[in-house]
Amino acid sequence: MAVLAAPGAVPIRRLSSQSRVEAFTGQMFALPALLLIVGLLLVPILVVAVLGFSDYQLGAIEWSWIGLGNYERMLDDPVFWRSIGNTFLYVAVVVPGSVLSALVVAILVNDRKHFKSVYQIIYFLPVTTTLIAMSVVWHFVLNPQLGPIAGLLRALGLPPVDLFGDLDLVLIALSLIGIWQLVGFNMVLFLAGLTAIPRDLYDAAAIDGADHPWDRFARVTWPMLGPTTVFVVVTTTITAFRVFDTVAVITRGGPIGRSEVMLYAIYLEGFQYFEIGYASALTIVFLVVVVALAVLQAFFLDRKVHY
Amino acid sequence: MSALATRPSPGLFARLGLMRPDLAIRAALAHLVLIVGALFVLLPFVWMLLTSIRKPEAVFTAGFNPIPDEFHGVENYSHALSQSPLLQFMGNGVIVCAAILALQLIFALPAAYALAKLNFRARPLVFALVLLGLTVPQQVTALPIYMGLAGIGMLDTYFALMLPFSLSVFAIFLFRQFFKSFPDEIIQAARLDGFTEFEILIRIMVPSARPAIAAFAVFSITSHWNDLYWPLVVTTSPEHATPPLGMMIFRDQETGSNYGALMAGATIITAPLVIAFLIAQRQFVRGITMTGVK
Amino acid sequence: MASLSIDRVTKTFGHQAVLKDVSLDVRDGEFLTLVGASGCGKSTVLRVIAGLEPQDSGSILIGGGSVDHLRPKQRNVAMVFQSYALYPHMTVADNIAMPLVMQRLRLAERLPLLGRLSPRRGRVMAGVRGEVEAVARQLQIDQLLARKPAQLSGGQRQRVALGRAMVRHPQMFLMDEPLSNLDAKLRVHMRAELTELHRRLGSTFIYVTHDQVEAMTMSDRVALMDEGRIVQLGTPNDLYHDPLDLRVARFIGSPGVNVLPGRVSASGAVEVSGVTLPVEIEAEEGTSVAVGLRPETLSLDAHAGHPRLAARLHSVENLGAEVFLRLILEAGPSEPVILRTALESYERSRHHGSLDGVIQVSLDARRATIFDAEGRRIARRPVEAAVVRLSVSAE
Ligand SMILES: Nc1ncnc2c1ncn2[C@@H]1O[C@H](COP(=O)(O)OP(=O)(O)O)[C@@H](O)[C@H]1O
Ligand SMILES: [Mg+2]
Repeated sequence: MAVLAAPGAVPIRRLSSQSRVEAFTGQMFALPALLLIVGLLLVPILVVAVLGFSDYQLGAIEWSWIGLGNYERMLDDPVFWRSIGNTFLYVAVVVPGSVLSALVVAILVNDRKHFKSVYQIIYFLPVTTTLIAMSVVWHFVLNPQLGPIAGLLRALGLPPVDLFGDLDLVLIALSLIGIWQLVGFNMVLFLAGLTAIPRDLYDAAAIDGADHPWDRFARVTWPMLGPTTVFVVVTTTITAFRVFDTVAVITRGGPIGRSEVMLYAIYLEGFQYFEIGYASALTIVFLVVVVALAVLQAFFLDRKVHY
Repeated sequence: MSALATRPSPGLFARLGLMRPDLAIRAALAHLVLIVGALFVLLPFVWMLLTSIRKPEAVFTAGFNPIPDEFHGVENYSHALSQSPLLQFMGNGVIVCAAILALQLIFALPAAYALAKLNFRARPLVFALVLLGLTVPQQVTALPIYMGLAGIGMLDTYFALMLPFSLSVFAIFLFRQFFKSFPDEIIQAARLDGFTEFEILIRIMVPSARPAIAAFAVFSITSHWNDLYWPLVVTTSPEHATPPLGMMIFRDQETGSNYGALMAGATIITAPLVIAFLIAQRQFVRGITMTGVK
Repeated sequence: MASLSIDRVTKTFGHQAVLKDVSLDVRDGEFLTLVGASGCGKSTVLRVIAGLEPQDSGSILIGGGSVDHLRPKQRNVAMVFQSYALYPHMTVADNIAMPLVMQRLRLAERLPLLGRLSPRRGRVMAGVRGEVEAVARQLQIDQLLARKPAQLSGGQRQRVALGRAMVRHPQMFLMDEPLSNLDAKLRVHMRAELTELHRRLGSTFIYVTHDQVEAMTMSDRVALMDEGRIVQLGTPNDLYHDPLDLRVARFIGSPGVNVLPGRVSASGAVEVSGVTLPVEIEAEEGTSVAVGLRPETLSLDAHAGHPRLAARLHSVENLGAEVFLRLILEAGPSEPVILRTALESYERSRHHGSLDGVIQVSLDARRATIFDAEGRRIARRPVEAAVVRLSVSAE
C-alpha cells in the first residue's frame, strides 16, 4: 500500500538507510583504530603528563605528588642542561650540514647527464642501512689506532685524533654521522623539488640574461625550492632532535657527559634508573619541543607555498 | 663580432661529439665534488667489507695496507654466525616487522576508508586525533606502555615488541589521502551492485591502494628493522632481540678483540635491506621518503 | 629589429631527428608564423633561434651575422612562453624588470645585501623602474605592478609576459603558443591585440602555433611544418589556395579540404567520382591522384562549364550566415564531402525541394588542387600551351 501511495519516497528512504549504513560501518571501521589511538597514544601521553608531577619510581611502594618538583629539579640538574645544550648543538650542526650538502648534491646530481642514478644510489645507501650496525662501523673507522682515518693521518705525519674521546670533538663526530645518514634522504626530497621546477623558467631566465650559475640559483632554483627547503629543514630538525642510536652505541653520553642528549637522558632516567616521575617530566619537555617544531612547519608551509 | 672568428660554433662541438669547453669543465668539477662526497658516504661500507675479510692480526696494520692480502672472510663470517645468534636476531626482525606491518594494515585500512569515504559523526574527531598523533614521537609514549607491559608481565616478548606500533597514524593518514582521490562513482556503483561496505573495502579500495601499500610497507619495514629505542627498552634476553639490539649485544661480546668478525656481523645485519634497496630502488626511495608527501 | 635566416639546421634528441634540414628566411619587421601539429618541432626551432638549444648542424643568422656562438642573452631576442614562465616569487614589476636588471647590474651588484653597497645600483634601478612603468602603461597593467603572478588572471599573466619581452626592445620576438592557455574569447581578443602590437613596434615576430586560424589571421607569412621539415612557406592566401603539398591543404582551412581519389585520363584530364575535370596536368595517363576541393569550390547552384556530381545529403551545419552541408557522393568515398554555401542559396534549394533525393553539386575545377601519390602538388599545364593546342586541333 505504502509503495503504491508514495513512489517518490522510495529513493529518500533508500538514501537515509544508506546513510545509516554508512554511519554504522564508518564507526565500526574506525573503532579499532580509535581504541588503539586512545590506548597507545592519548592515555600514555596523559599518563606521562600526570606522572611528571610525581616522584614515582618503578616498583616503589611509596610515592607522592610533588607538583612542579621534577621541573624544578631539572633546572638544577647539570645532566638536563648538558643534554639540552648538546642536543641543540647537534641539531645546529646536523641541520645546516645535511640540508646544505643535500642541496648542493641534489643540484649537482640533477644537472648530470652521466652516472645520475649511480650517485643517487650511493648517497641514498646510508638511509636504508641499520644505523646501529653502521655506528659500530663508524666507531671503528674513526678509531684512533685502527681506523683508515688514523692511517691517513699517520701517513701524513699528523698525530692521531680520538674523535669520540675528545671533549670538544665528540659531538662534531656524532654530527658527522648524523649528516652522513641524512644527506641521501634530503637529497631525494630536493631532487623532487628540483624536477618540479618548470624548464621554461630557466629558459626565460637564460633569455633575460640570468645564465650565470649563481643567477640561475638565486633567481630561479632557490626561490622555487622555498617550500621544499622549509619542509626539509623541519623534518631534519625533528629527526636530529631524536638523536639516540649513535649515542647509545658509540659514546653512551661520554666522555664525561659531553654527548648526553635529550632522548638518551630520558632513556637513562626512565629505563636504567627507573626514575619514572622525573623521566616523564623530561619526556614532556621533549614533546613540547617536537610539537612546537611541527606547528612551526605547518605555519611556514601554509605561508610559503602560495608565494 | 670579433669573437665570431675565434669562437667555434656550438654546432662544431656537437658534430665532434664534444661539449662546449666551459660546460665540460663545469661538468668535470661537478663530478669531482660528487665523487669526493660519494667517497665519504661509501667509506664505512668499504671499510666494513674490507675488514670483514681481513685476518684479525692484519686489522692493526690496516691503516697502512687497506686492501687485505689474504682472504679471511670465511673464518670471520662463520665466527660471527657461530659466536652469536645473528640469524636468530634476523629471524626475530622478520617476525616482528611482518607482524607489525600486518597489524598496521589491518587497523589502518578500514579506518582510512571510513575517514575518506564514509560519513559518520565522530569522523572529524578521529581525523583530528590522527593528525595530532602524527606529531608525537614514539619515545614519548614508551614509558607508560613499558609500565603497562611490566604490569601484565609481558616484557621481553614479541607482543611487547609489536604493541606500540600496531597502530600507525601515519598509515591511516596516508591511505586516507589515497582513498580520498578514489572516484565516488565506483563506490556508488558497487553499492548498487549489492556490495557490502566490507566487500567494497576488500575488493575495491585495498587493491586500488596497492602502490600506497607497497610504499608504506617499505617505510614500515625499514623503520622497524632499524629501530633500536623500543627493543632496547623492552627486550632483556637475546631470544627476542631484533637485529639492531643483536648488533649491540654482539659488539659487547666482542669488545676490542675480533674486528673482522664484528664487521662481518655488521655486514650480515645490514645486508638484507641494502640488497632489497638495490633491487627495488624506486620503491625504496618512494617508501622511505614518503613522510615527504605529508 | 632584424632579419633572420635559418640555414639548413638539423637537431636530434637521442635517436629522434626533430629538425631535418630546416631553412627559413624571415624579413625585417615581418610577422611570421610557424604552424604545424604538436610535436612537429616548432618549439625546437624557436629554442634553437634563441640559443636555448644548440643545433647539431646548420646556422642561425640574425641581421645577416651568425649568432651560433652567442648565448641566449647576447642574441637580443625576447621569448614569450606558452606557460608564460613568470617568476612566481616576484612581483609583476620585478618580473618585467628582470631583463633590464640582468643587463645593467654587474654580478656583484646583484648579490643579496652586498649588492646594495654599490652607489651605482640605486641610479640604475630608478631608470629600470621608469621603463617598466612605461611598458606596463602600454599594456594597461600598470595598476597590477605590485601583485604576484598567482594573483593575476590568465590574460593578465599573458600581458606581463609580453611586458617582460618588450621592455628590452629586442631585435626579435619569439612567441611559443602564447595564446593557447587562454579561453576562446580572450584568445580572439588577444589575436587582434598582438597584431596591433606588431604593427606598433614594427619588430620581427616569429610566432608558433598549432592553431591554423591564428596562423591565417595574424601573419604576414606562414611556414607550415611537419615532422621536422618546413613543408611550405607563403602568405596565408598561398597556403589556402595554392598548397604545394596535400599536408598543407589538409592542415589549413576549417572545415578541412575535401580529398577525393582521382585518376589521370589520356588527355591529361582528371577523372574523379565519375566526372572528368576540365583541367590538364603534367602526369602520365592512369596515374592515381588526390584531388583537393575546398568546401567553397562545391556549389548547389549550376554553373556553366562546371561538372556536376551526384550526391545525397548527410547532415547540415547551419552557422547563420553560411551553411555547411555534408554530402555522400553517389560515386565516391563513403565519408561525406563538405560543401559551403551562403544561407540564401541553401534556403532556396531547400525550398525547391532539391535537397531531397539525389542532389546535383557543381564543382569549380579551376580551384581544384591535384596531388600525386606522395602528396606533392602536380602542376597544371600552362594555360597558353593548352590554348595553343586547342587552336591547333581546331585547324
Ligand atoms: N629536450 C628534449 N629531449 C628529448 N626530446 C625532445 C626534447 N625537446 C623536444 N623533444 C621532442 O622533439 C619533438 C618536437 O618537439 P617540439 O619542438 O616541442 O614540438 P612542437 O613545439 O611542435 O609541439 C617532440 O617529439 C619532442 O618529444
Ligand atoms: Mg611546442
